[in-house]
Amino acid sequence: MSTATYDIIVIGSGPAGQKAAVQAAKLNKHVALIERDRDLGGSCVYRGTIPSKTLRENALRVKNMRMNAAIANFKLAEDLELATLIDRLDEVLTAHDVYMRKQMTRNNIDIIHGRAKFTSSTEVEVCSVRGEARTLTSHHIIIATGSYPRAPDNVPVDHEHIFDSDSILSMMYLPKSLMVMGGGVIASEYASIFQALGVHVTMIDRYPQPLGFLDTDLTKTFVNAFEEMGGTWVGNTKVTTVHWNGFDGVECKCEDGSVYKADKLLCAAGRLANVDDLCIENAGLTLNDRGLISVNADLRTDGV
Amino acid sequence: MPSTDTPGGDIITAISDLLQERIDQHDLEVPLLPEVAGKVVRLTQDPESEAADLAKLIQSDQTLAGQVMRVANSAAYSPSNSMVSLQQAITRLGMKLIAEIALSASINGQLFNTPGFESHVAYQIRHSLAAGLWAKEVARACRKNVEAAFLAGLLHDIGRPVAVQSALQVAKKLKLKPTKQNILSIEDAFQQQIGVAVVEKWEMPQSVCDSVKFFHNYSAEHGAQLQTMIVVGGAQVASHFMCEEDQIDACMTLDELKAQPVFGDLNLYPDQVDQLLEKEAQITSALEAMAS
Repeated sequence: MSTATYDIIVIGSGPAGQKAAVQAAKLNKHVALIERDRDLGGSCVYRGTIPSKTLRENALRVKNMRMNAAIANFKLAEDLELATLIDRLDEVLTAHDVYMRKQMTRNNIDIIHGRAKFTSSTEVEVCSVRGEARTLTSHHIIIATGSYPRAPDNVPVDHEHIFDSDSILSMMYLPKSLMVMGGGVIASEYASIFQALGVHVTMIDRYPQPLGFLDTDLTKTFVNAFEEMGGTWVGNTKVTTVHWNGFDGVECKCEDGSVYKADKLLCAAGRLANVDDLCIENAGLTLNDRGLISVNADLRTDGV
Repeated sequence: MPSTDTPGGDIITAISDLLQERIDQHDLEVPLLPEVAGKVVRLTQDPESEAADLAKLIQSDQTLAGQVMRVANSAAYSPSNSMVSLQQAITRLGMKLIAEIALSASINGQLFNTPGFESHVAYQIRHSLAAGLWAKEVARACRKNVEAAFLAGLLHDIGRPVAVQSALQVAKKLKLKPTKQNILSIEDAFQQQIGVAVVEKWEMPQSVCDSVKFFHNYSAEHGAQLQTMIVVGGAQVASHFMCEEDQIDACMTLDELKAQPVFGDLNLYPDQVDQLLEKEAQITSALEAMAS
């Protein structure tokens, strides 16, 4: 097994890891950037922020054309493939990957494709997708592994009928109806985008209003706009079971006895820290009650 | 073009030349996909379609309806063996699955006229079905395109039986007597371009046509690249598990399967490939039900 020593090892090439690696390199540090996916950029680029914004742009266009229906007689094709609505995505992603790789090369950062796990507080083993292992050592290791969608035990995500926020855009066609479980940023964003595209969206969440961290006047504005487009907000409702009825849709049973049904369901019930494969215990770290690694005011694990 | 250094090289050349001419002139005789199967594919792509439409459609073909009911009542799908109507089967199993069963039932050995090669064609069709089922699981492991994977997997080597049929037709026209090996050699050489012609003629979705076209060169840039990789992965797993006892030396071992580049290209790590392969019993059961 090969071994290499670096001034700084960064695990994860999302926005945080990328910036950390580049800043360290600009300070003349010898940096390794470990990324488990084939492409650089993390979930933000490939499954979250950028894809959803590409869809949002087209959703806004569709919404505007609908508003002018009297003169344009606009109707979205029934068999429109979702890929058509995110048509520029590949172009954007390729440009981003090229840009990032050039940036890393320019700054002499070693990009290492593989999954990292701690073997000690200063040593990381990286296993490639083909199964080859190598060891990297450093006294400074940055964990920037981001998060993945939480799948509650009662929601059997199958990426075919019941999706999470990482897989929702792999749907082939726009469904007639969509249930969105959750009331956070991701749930609200996709709910309003799909509703703008003409999908009948029902948002269900246990809290009275979505986006609870915002001021009430803002959340009211969001809910009003969503409902004006034809969406349905169901607050104060706890989902007990979700299942594909094996026939024509996904059914969602709630604690108050109500049942909701839609062609597809998006589970956007928060995200969890991406630390499962890291073996952080070998570095002397533990997760706190929220499933996160505790850090101090300088974002360091030392002495926490 | 197949090698002409092999025994029967002249025969192979003569058949290949005429076959290529027919392909170039779009004069290849492509078996008609049973009308009902084509409609099933289109219906399941229509978001406005309803279960009742699918039941009505399948019922319009008695043989197909019977086959669907048989599979729906098999141990893999209905352990209690209690489904009595197509509507009930669709209710229980879902439109997508029933459509998959219907399409698989339509693509069977009887669709092709390949005297002397019936068992070979039956094996190819069974392999395609397994590839479709495994492609869905590969897609699920990648969290991508599960909906489209089955159809693309099922049809990825549809060119093989059609190539055999076409080669036999051409040989007959030229009054040649090719050996079995000659025909298989022509099948290998032409299956890809004939496969593309078939799925285009059957008006399959563009992504399916792309997956057939780029199956042997998935790293080439094309619109459905991820789906093609998923299909290649599914086909390789299918090949491993369908290895026949008399061909054991030519088959991929489990380690060779796991080391296939496509899994790395799909960014599936060794433990994820292991998890994928644990679905063998589930897939075998579905395959037995659909292919028997």
